[in-house]
Amino acid sequence: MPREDDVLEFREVTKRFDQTNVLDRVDFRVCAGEVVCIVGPSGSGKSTLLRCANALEPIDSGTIVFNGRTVGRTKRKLYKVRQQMGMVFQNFELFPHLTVLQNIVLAPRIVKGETESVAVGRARNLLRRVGLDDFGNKYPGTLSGGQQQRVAIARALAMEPDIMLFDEPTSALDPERVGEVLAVMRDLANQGTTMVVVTHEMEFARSVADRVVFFDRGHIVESGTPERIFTNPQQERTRAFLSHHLSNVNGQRSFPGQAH
Amino acid sequence: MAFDFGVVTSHWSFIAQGCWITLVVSVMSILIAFVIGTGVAIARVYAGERISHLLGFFYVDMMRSVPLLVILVWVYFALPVIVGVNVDPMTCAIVVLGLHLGAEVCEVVRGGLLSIRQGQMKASLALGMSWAQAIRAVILPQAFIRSLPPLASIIIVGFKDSALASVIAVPELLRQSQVLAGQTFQPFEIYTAALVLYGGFLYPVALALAVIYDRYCSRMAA
Repeated sequence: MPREDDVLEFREVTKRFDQTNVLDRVDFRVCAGEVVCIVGPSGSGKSTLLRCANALEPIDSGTIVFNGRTVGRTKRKLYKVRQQMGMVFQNFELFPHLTVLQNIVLAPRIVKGETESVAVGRARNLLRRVGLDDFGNKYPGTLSGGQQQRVAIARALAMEPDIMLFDEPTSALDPERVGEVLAVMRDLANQGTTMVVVTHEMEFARSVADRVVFFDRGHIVESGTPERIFTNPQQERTRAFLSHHLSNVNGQRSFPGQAH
Repeated sequence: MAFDFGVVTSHWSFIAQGCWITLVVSVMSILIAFVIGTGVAIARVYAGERISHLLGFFYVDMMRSVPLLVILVWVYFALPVIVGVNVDPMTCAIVVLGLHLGAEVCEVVRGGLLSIRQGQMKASLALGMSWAQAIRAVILPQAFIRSLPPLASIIIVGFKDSALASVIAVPELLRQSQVLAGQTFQPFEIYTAALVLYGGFLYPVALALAVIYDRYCSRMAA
């Protein structure tokens, strides 16, 4: 893939917590319009990868390039970078003292200085897009987990980011609420949104991702099309993880290596 | 024994003056307490352990370990001996009450700030907000709402503590009552009026604060 298409690039990025390398010289690239799903065991560093991308976690060495510019160390530049990256958290992190609409317009208003009418207009469109037209005046505490996460997606989209980072967006949801959030994400992917999704939803990764990255112990073990990763993983660690994970999820889902 | 409350009505403007001064001293000192207390709380939570300990030791713990009355008397009568400047009693009362109450506000707001999940700050930063914007728009409002019951108590205490200013001759309600009681030799009527005025004002204030809390609390409840 041509390098000028890269939206986000990690070059030999290392991140340490205490003595452990959570990210160990990671090279990682995301192209415009690409949907990358990152899978792997808990504690392998997947979430840290996302948090380093928008500098919520400082890195120890290496370089992160976003839209052709090195993600700087100065605060002002960091704020700018983060404005162009949307992030969705496992625990939604909606602001509980604000209504759904206020949650969505807050950052566009105070960060970009948008007028009330512009921000509210876009917020209403986004709410329609995530299927929550009538929820603008409700408080997050009155919404289900799935609804809250859809609002969180709308809130991130309101900044019109160049890339969306999803950090296990469905892991905190009741199983019957997972589908509605994945549907919104699938919709985003179909519209060409550049996305990096850390997930345990293998079926989603298989059907939506352009590329699947298997991550373990701070390393990218292997990376490729979903077809290749799920049906023909090259690495023993990938195979072990997938067979364990897929068999645990749901009886209907096929095992890696099995034709489907 | 017959009581004649006519003495209260005949001196109503003198008493009303006291009420006004009580209100000014209370509101000003509560405002100072909230501004300083909130500022120090933010510094204690976010400016690192060293600064937190310094502020805790030199401001919060010192203020809280000496009786307000003693600080008030010391600042008014002892401090001028060192610095050679006499302070006007009203200013002195407002500043001392404000600083003293600020230490309480600080600890309550600090608790509120610490109770907000770290993810809220992360989510704010991830949206491109600066640290200051996140504090102002996201973290602090939630911390205040969570801390409303103890903050309401602090506001009530702030109003009541203004009566201590009478010892440095600030002409607030209690001081005016003392003067009047001395002149008229009718302490029962005068002090009863003061008691009713304090209670009659503060009881509704307490109720109003409770209503405000219920309103915000129900919103934020998950």
